[in-house]
Amino acid sequence: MGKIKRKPQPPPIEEDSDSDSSFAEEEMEAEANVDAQEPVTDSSDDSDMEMDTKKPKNNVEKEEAADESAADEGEDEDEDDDDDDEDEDNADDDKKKARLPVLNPLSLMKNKEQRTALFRKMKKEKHKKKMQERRARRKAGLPANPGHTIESLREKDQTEVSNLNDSDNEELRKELEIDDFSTYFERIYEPKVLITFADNPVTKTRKFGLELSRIFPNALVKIRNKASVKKICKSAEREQFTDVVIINEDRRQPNALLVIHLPNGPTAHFKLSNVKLTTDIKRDHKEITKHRPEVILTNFTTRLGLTVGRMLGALFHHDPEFRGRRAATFHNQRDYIFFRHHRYEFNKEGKRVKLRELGPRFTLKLRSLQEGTFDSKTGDYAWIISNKRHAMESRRRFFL
Amino acid sequence: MKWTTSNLKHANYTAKHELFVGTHTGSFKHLMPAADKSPYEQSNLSDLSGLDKESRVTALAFGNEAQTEILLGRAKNIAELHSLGINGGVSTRNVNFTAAPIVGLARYNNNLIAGIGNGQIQSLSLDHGDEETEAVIIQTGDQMDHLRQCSTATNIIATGGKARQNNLKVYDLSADGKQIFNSKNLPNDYLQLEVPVWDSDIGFVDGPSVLATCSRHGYVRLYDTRKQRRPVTHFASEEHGMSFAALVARGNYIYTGTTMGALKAFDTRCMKTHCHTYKGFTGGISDLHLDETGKYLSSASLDRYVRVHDADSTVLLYQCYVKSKATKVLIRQLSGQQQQEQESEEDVAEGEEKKSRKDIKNNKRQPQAVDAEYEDMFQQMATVGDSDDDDDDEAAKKQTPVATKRKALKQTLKTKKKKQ
Repeated sequence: MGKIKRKPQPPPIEEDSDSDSSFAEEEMEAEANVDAQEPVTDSSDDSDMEMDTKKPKNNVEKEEAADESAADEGEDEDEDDDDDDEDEDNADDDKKKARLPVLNPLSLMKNKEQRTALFRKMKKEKHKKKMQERRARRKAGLPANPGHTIESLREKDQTEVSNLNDSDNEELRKELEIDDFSTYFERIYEPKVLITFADNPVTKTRKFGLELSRIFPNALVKIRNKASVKKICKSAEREQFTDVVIINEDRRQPNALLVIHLPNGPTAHFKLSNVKLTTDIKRDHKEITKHRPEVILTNFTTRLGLTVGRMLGALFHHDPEFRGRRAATFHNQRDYIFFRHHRYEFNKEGKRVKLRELGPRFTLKLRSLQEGTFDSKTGDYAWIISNKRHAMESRRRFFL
Repeated sequence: MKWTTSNLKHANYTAKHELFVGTHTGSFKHLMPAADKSPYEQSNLSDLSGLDKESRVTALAFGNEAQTEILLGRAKNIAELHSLGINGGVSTRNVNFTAAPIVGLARYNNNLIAGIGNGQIQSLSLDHGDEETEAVIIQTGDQMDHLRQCSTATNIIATGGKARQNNLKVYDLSADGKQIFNSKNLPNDYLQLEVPVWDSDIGFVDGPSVLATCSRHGYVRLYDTRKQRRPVTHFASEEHGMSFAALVARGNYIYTGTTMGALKAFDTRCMKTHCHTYKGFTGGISDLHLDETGKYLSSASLDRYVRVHDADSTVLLYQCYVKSKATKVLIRQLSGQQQQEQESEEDVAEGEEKKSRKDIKNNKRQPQAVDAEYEDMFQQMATVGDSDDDDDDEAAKKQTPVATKRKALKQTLKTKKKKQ
């Protein structure tokens, strides 16, 4: 084997929670014990070796194959371990330590039988340790590790509104006092909603519009008749509507919802998906009473979410009729806003509640929020990421 | 850099700046990105409790060359004069105009000039204290989006608005508000239809005679008032989302922001497409402002953030959440005394600092000296090509006496290499 040119060690890579991240973590500890060995070869170096010398090519290939098998094994056990690993990951991120790229030393072993045996042993030990911990936890009566959810791992948002009554939220309170929905929350007007469609809606879209009109009290469904949105807004304002809802459809499916608050905005554009009509979930619209529903808005945490939540809330009358026991829920989860419509019933002790879903159900996702009434070409957007979603979106970042 | 929603300050952002931000709710804020301890701390310069629906900040400008006075206009008919003391103290004076909203403010010879949304320019004398005086009114059209004052010749102001009759116009205040320039639209398109006009923002390019406008209809135009009424060069896009709302220009570069949150820089020498894109926005851009050196581009955005980008390298240097939608922004160097205070606070070795400053100064001087040499050389050279184009170039050189020189230098170097 000739001299192998080694590239300078690549800069520390931030590791995603990949399939073999668990190994990496262990690896770190193991290495710490053994103390700094020679810089561990990296996959990039492997390719170098291939380039320089042709003899050990077979070896290299084997090694890579072994790596893969190791990775596969890793995946199997990953399901259990995932939580812990990510925890460690996070801690590391917090410290912002420089991290060396690490490999499991076992994977450099060339005898496959020995290697797999050692792997198995290592895994067993790990499992044992975990079980011990669990037993100890149970004995101590501690609650089980809740683990991580996407929500709990969410990237912290600067604009998050945690407590409105904070001293540094004075400006926010002021803004809420004077924004476009302030008159609604001061109960100056009763909302009146106009629901309309794209041109020539199919039956499903029409039905969906009709069902929306059963949810929003004081709503009117109209066929659009090829009027432009700007004209609709103008005439709706004249007829003293306070909001306009336009259902768009594509390929015979309702696919977008445009909510315009009158008289001077804002305008929200939502993607609409998973529309299930009342008949689709085998319910009858006769079950839905005319009582004004309660509105439940959950999980709108950021400043943008607050605006969107206020906007959706402002479509409903401010005084629900509790007699009707109807509840309309907008639940935000990972930027998807789920709508559900229920009738509830408390049992006699008043401790448990029975729910009956009434329908429709649908999912919204915010596409843009625009200042003023609809003007998609020249209007000012308060939030839009349509053309840079790949740069802005991440699995742990949510905007609402 | 990875995009985040959190406040951030780039390690390389060492320039001593302070930012003034006007917001949609009407608050007027002061940010100190230069402070090491709390670069995101914001202080309100106006009272929050008195705000109402009409107190949105719609105009913000420096009132004098020393940048110690700030003019602030609101969506109602009130303009405020904030005089910044050396130690950060602020005294405020309110001036009432007869119409609203105020879309641009300027100060000339102790007169306060305001552009009003209904197309008027109103001028009030500030000499009489609190006495009510009649405003002198100049009618420019029936709508106005922006009024800007030329920073070098303070008697020159420009206005622009929506529709043909409210196109870019330039007024001379020293001659009783005489209109000295009225732009002309591009010729009709191939269908003989009029090209729509909407000059949503205006910028002076290093002098009173060269102006840039941008439009919500998706064009950026460059006018030379000495040459012709029609734009000298222009950029136009039919693309959806190219609706420009804010503009600032300096040297050979025009920086414009769109309503969809894209901030682009155009090179006036090649307006076919943009030359830089600045990233990080999730909402429309409402205002832009360059610092004195032209190296730092501050932007106010409707996504409630104020950002500072490096104008040349497009790196995001600073971003701060300002709680309400930012509508106007101003950036300035920390005044000398404040800066010194800060230095003493932060225990920075002053000697080093001075040294580095001197170095910077030297660097600045050198290219200018070289530049003169090159210019001589080029003047002696025989001209090739269209005589018209040549005129253009010369005009451009004359218009931009200082700032373009550095950029011109690069260009000349390149051409020289090719010839060799």
